[in-house]
Amino acid sequence: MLEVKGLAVDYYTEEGIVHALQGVSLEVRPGETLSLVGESGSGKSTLALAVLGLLPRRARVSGSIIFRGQNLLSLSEEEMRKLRGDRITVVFQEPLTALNPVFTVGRFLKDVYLTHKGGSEREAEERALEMLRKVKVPAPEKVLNSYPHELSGGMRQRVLIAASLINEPDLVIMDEPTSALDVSVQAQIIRLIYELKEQVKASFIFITHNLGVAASVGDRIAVMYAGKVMEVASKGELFSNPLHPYTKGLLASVPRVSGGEVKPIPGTVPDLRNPPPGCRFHPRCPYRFEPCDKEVPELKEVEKGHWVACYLWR
Amino acid sequence: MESRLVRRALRNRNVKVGGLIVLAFALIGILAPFISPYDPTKGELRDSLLPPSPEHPFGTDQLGRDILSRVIWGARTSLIVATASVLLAVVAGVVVGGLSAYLGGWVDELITRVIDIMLAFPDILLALFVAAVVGPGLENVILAVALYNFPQFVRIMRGSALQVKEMEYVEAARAIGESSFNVFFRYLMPNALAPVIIHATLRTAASILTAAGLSFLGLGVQPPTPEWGQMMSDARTYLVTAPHVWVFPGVALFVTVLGFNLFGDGLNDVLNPKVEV
Ligand SMILES: Nc1ncnc2c1ncn2[C@@H]1O[C@H](COP(=O)(O)OP(=O)(O)O)[C@@H](O)[C@H]1O
Ligand code: SF4
Ligand SMILES: [Mg+2]
Repeated sequence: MLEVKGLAVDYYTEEGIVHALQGVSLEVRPGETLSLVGESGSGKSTLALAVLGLLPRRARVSGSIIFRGQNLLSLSEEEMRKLRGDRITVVFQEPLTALNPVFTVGRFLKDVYLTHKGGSEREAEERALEMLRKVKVPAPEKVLNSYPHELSGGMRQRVLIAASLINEPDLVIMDEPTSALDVSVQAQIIRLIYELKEQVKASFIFITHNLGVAASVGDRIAVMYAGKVMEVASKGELFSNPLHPYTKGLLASVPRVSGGEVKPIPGTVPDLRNPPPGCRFHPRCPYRFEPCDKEVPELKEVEKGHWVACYLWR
Repeated sequence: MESRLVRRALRNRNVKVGGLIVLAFALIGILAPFISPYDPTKGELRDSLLPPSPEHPFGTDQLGRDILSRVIWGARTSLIVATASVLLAVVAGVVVGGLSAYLGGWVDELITRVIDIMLAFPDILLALFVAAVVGPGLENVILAVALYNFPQFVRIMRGSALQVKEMEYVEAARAIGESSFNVFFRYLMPNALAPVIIHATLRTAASILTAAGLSFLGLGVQPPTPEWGQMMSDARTYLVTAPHVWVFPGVALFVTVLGFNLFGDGLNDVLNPKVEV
């Protein structure tokens, strides 16, 4: 479905070159949900934008992103435009500002449909209504004629989710879709996403900085740190058998219902303009040993379906 | 939300007073053919320089033409020049300023440089220069005044569009596969327009004044078209002996410009935009 291989992204800024992603390899299988988890600044959004072909001009990209047999990085802007919003869709973090204030919800949804599918206004309107019902918007006929400022954040995010599914895409990327919402609304939206992903054929990449949320939505989890994928495994495997020192640290820092101490990982996230050589986690790693600051450890399948980028597991 | 804004605007004294003056000015300009008592271009020489009387409330000018009628028709001329020149400048400014912000890179740099140079000229000098090059006449005055307004609208639109460009819905538009054309015209432009519209009302006042100034200097609207600046210019010889010839167009000009300025300032206070020139 989607196969990312050796993806590197550098942002050329006035303050220097930010090595946001380095040698990232990932696979998303048909119909599955891959949760991408990592602290803020670990490169999750950069990865999402790379897949969508929406990186800013100052970004340099290398590697390959194979989607349904073609390398997205070698497509033209026009070819990418046709995929975006149709085969690959996205829901961003900020529902409050993600909708054009001058359009009604109906106009927006119909445009997403008509841009790619063509057809009549009537068809588009029916489809828009159907989608609003699917995302459980109350009084969908009324919402169709509402302007974004008349809707709450949660309602707007439902509209954006409806837009991401209206064209029956193959891949839906959700980049922290609940992070900007109130806690009570977050839970509702996560439940909705969980239900929807069971109903539709699409694969999902679900991005979050919260391990608990990643586990509740994802089939598999990829852990990112400082622009690298550190560990990938099914969620059961990852929680019961974390192998990467960073994943272990993350799990130890999550507050448990059963009590127990919360232990944050000592140290800070590195400056990606000047990332640590070798393993990017080595300055904070309690297990680091002699090869760690020399060569970059690559992702290796240590057990069936369980991948780790760490010299402890060779 | 919009109705609350309108109510707040109507409670603002500047908006109310300015708005009434602007409305009166526009109505007089539009209705000139129906409310003007005489033909503004015809007069009897033997009636020249008559003081105000019941027959000619504002008196007559050196050619015996009714000054009230000429003031009324002058409103029409000012209305045409101001609306056309501001509209022209707004349309061009919105497209150029919007593209400058949208495209960025060297296009933006080039446009910004050129606009900086244009803005370095004192306001009326640019209009004077253009008027001197293209010659007098109604269309040329419109062109000259439009050109003098143009760089300001480019700058305001660029600033506003740069802010809108960072809005997530612009990126979201690209994420749903909208073409660049649509992103620009349906997402960026309509959302960046508010400060441009406020500035347009302020520039209307300045444009009326500039057009009158050009005509006063003989570079603007040509006789016999009635125009306030030119009427005042014609009255220079009779400054003391027949002051009514310049006083009435002068007062009309003053009140109109004041009205637009009050209205624009009031709107500005109500909407309180962040963009300044
Ligand atoms: N447009 C950009 N220009 C320069 N640097 C950027 C840009 N976007 C992100 N970065 C940098 O790239 C790194 C990864 O950012 P991001 O992908 O947004 O992480 P995440 O989504 O995991 O929080 C960060 O160090 C961030 O500062
Ligand atoms: S490679 Fe070395 S430094 Fe990196 S996580 Fe493994 S043990 Fe720690
Ligand atoms: Mg992010």
